[in-house]
Amino acid sequence: MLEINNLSKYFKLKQGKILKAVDDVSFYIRKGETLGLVGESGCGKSTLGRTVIKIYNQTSGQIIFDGQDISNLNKKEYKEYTKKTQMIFQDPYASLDGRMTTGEIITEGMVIHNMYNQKERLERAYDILKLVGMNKEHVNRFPHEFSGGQRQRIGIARALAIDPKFIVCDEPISALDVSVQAQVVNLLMKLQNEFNLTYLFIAHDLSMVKHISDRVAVMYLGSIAELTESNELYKNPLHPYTQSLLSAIPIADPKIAAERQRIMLEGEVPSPINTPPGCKFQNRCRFVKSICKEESPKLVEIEKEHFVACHLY
Amino acid sequence: MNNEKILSIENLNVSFNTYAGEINAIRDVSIDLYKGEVVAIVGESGCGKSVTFQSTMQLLPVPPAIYKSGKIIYDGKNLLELSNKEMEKIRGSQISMILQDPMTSLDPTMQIGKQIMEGLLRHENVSKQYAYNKAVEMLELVGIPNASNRMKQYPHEFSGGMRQRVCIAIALVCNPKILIADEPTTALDVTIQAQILDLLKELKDKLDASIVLITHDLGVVVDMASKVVVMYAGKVVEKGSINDIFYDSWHPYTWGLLKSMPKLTEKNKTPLSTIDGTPPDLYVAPKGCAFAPRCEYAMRICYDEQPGFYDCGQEHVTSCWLKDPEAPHVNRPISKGGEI
Amino acid sequence: MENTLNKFEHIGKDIEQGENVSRPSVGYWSDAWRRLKQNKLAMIGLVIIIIYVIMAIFGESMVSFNFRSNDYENMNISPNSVHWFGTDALGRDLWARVWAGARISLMIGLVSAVMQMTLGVLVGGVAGYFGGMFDLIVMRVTEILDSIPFLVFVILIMMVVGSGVIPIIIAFALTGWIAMARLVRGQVLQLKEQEFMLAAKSMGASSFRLIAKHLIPNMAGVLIVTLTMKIPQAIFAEAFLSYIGIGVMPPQTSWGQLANLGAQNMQVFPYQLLIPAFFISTMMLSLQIFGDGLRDALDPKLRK
Repeated sequence: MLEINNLSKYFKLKQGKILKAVDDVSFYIRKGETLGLVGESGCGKSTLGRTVIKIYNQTSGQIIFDGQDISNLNKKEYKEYTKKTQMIFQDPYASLDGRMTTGEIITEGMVIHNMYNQKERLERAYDILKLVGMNKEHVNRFPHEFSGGQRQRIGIARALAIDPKFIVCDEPISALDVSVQAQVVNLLMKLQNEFNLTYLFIAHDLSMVKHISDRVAVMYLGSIAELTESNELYKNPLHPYTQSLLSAIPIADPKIAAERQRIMLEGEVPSPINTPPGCKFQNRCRFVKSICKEESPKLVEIEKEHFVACHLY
Repeated sequence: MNNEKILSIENLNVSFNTYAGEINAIRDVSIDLYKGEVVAIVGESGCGKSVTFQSTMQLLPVPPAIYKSGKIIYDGKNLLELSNKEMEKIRGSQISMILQDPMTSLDPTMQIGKQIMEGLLRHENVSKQYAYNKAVEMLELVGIPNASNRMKQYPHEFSGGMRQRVCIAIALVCNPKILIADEPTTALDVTIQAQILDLLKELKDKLDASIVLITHDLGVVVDMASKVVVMYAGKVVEKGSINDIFYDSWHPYTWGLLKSMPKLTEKNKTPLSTIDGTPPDLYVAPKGCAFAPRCEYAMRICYDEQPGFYDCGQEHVTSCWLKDPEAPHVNRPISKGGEI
Repeated sequence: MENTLNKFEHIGKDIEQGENVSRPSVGYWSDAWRRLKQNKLAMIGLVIIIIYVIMAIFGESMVSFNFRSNDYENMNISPNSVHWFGTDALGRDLWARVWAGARISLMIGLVSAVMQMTLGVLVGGVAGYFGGMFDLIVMRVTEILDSIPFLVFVILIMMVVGSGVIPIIIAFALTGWIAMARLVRGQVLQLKEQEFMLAAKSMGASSFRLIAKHLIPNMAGVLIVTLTMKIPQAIFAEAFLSYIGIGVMPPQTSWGQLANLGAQNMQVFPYQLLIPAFFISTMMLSLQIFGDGLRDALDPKLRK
């Protein structure tokens, strides 16, 4: 469904510095699949999501969507593109316009693309609200009257309203309580089954991402460190960063937590501005060699469907 | 417990007056903290965990908050009865707090060295030189390299994890007996979170402090705490040791929380177990148990009367009608250790 | 034992009961109105404003005199039961003049404020939204215009357009829009990057739709408050101009003009100055208080 080739997004900053938010990233997502994208703050996952949706224009590289090269779109083509791909945002409080009623928020997409008439749009809004677990009566209420979880559902309803095929979920559950996260994740999975949707699921919570995704990509400072099937990533992490990431996740089970081996990552998450040559992980990696400081490792298929970018392999 | 009890919250009731009525935010909450312990307060947004401890420090704006009844005993005194001046002596020197967002907790226009020294100079009769040296010592203690050079820097020159370390330094500089950590790592990356939690454990031992850890992340609880207090809708629904709560729990809300977390060992793409519905609006104090509408084990009495507290073992207490001797037996959906 | 069995009878979940949103549904405006009502001072301001507006419309017709009719036999009479505010040096009834003047002053205030807002929104909105070169040019231009002293600017404009009510309105509009534009630009810059804007953009919304349907409603509160504050500024400016003799010209009258005329007889007939001065001050004060209260009521952060 989606293929990214050598995608890069750089931001020019003052004094000639360059922020390489996304640096030469390539992957593909099959139709009906969920690709999870994890990483810590500053790794560029949000930027990548927005570049794919074309909120940002890429600095270089190619994006092929549903067989079409959409790397460069004019205004009209962009509008067509928005019908097929949608985004769900992180902050349930900022992503809904507080001055619009729920109904207006959901039907806005349909209005922009001139779909159906007014009566049908309202009917569709009712249907979608029901689908995400809310009632018809909610249609005339304002976002501030709802809880975080309910607002996120409204955001999902809005994304679904124009029948997209591909949805980028940008940290949709990070701002929610744990039990509400489970509800929203279940909803997303159910919708995927019903409508055969394709997801790019961006988050920093590895356990949640692993649960909802078929395959997971781990990002570090703008590049993909490892990409493989979800269960495989947990059972057999190859990249040193993935290994430390997994070992840092707090486990909610005393016996298992006690048995786990901890790999402590020293130092801070470095800045993506003016990165040194070579592997981006060099100053925190416990296996660092001299080649790591000179050459950036390429993403290579080490085992079946298991890609790693590391000089160890 | 032959340990000394440091803080005792007894039957606390706090409400807020709003335009739509009175919210009974904290209802009959009792929590004990012993010396050297880490007690985790777990619950979701709106359950009252933060408000309970803000009350301890008398940090709630009164009005709209009303302290309806209850006591908070520290050092033989009822903290709720102290005047603001007396509380000022306690805040920062005997009971300290660190908050979720280190960026807003620090004064952006003041050098961090000064911010650390401030507390010391206020509470103890020491010279500026002494305070300066102590501040550098604290920075080194919390793991900030090149401490003496960084004293003159401003908050924005530090990363998120570093800032939280600075906040910890400020909180601990006067060697308080109690540190209240309100979601200290929620805003941090996972690898940084691990570092900060390790730091807190190390400091607790070094400085012989007791910690109240407020969080919604059960994984963090396992990592840090020895005792757990689970709160829902302003009430304590269960409290006990780590093993009690994770392997021998007696409250359906706790079961729901434990089940709704994805396990790394589980097969993916299966629907997660959830707790249906949403927490109640506390404008109308529920007649019975606040969790009843969402509880699949709810009985008639659960809707009619509030449950009391039932003992489930040593220091393990639950507030659920299921534990009443007259209640029917249920098969608890819990694991006895290891895989579920 | 029947009782006990009943008590512990298994019922299970009742999600509906739990989901009841007991707080009454409040829209943004109704909530703001409720909060405004609680502010006694702001309400008093509002009442005074309404009274003055009503009197401006009907006040003159309440007496048999009009604002122009001279009456050389009844010059400079202090307030009495026939002439409620007394008469001026030409025997004109002050009550009628005050309310006729009110019409002019209020109209100048309102119309120029609205024009300032329109200009400000257009320029500031476009500059803030599109940024880039246009924004830079616009900002430099506003800075230059802003540095010209108000009085000089107004006099220059009136030299071109002439004097009278309409020229005054135009002059005010052309000087006052700058502050509005800056405000709007700041608001737009702040709102532009919010997620709901990105969401609408990724939905395919056109720039026009984004500005009209999303940006402006979200700025409405701030705009209305500023509008409310601009009116007293205009009233005062008009009074000032009239006081130095280049404002509203006879036979039309305004509060400022009345104050000017009254000042000439201040020593002997103080009421001729005090009365219009009183109305100018109270009108401005009421508008300020009301504007303050309005801003507090519309600020979502202050909501308890």
